[in-house]
Amino acid sequence: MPSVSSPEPPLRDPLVLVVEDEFLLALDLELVLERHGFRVLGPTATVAQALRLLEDGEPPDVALLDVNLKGEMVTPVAEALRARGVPFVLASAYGSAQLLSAAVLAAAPKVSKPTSERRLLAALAEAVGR
Amino acid sequence: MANALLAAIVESSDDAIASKTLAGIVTSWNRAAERLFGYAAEEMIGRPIAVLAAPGREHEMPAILERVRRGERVDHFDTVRRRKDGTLVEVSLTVSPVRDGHGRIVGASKVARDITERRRAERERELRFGELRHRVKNLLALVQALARRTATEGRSGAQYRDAFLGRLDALAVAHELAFAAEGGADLATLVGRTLEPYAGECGAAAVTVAAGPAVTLPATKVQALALVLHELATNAVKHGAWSTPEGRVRVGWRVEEAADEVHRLRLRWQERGGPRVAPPAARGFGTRLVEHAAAGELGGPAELVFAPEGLEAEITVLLG
Repeated sequence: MPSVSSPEPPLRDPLVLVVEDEFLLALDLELVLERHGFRVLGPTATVAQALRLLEDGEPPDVALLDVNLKGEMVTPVAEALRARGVPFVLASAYGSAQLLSAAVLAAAPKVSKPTSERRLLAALAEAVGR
Repeated sequence: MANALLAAIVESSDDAIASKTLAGIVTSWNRAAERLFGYAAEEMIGRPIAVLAAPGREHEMPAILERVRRGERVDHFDTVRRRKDGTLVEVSLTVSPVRDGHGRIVGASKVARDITERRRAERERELRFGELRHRVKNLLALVQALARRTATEGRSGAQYRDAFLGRLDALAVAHELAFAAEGGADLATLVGRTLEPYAGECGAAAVTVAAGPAVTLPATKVQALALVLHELATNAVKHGAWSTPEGRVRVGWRVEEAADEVHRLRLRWQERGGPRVAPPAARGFGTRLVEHAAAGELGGPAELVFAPEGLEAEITVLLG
């Protein structure tokens, strides 16, 4: 008897949304993530672009967010991700006190900037595993 | 006489000075208190000090009076009070017990200093310090990215070091120019400084800068453009015009003024006289850097044409 098909997703590399306004860091992240078996959505440098990517395309499995995008806080992206149940990790050169103002950011896992590849990948893996 | 002198000192003090009973009823109110809180002495004397309580801080005054009753002094307590017009003012309070001739505590004297200005300066300092810390950490992250992205394959340690230091130098030049003057950096200076090491190495004739109109680049774009120019230059040394003694690079630019006020800088990089050029088999980090810088930071796009007679690049920068 053929088994009832279970809704198993096709095997694919996890998709990570990268929001980072510094182009060189964005490029570096893209290369690091690609080399470690992620597919990259973006990178995008603004809140508006990130929200558009979330609206339009394949939903990411996880996101890596720079907190301050040339003076614009990434909070709306974090809220959109939370609404969709997508885990995210914050990468910021700011101290944590500056993040605490928005609850959605205060609760998220964080990596400092600069951070080692190992710490970054561990934080993403942990976020996806949650 | 002594009393009159003391009264005159209190009256002319820059700090707000008031006295109150242990029940919190105001018994004296100097000129500075009138200025700070907006109430005249006639309005306050005989009234409870609690009219100055800021919303959410009503509990503070009974607590202060309780300490005074126990003979304690409240020293430089930074808080907020409400003026007559409803606005809030940040003050530093010192409240001490007042005793009668028998040593009994009968009231409290209060000195209030306006610390609005001090607080504003403190907040500004914190903000600047935060920005500076952010900038330094960001810069370290950039250096880390450059170190990570400078290829090690097929290179000796010394070659890796030189390639990395070349990029770091471009970053340093950009940083220096971006923050040297308020408002940005001069494009001709940026081009000159970034290509200076190559003009030296490849001979002064190897590079011609056909300067266009004077352009002030916003600080945020200086770094991206410096790194792009540096990548084009190192590519020319490795594969392009500057890999032969006869090769030449010409850099020029023009500004397109648009009706929507967004002016576009078109920067052209043209190589001639080098070996025949074939499009690269794989996109290296340099190419990706140029593309990312253009699409992200500069407003883009970047066009790279691998013409047989020499690489031609056109970098578009939105000047805003």
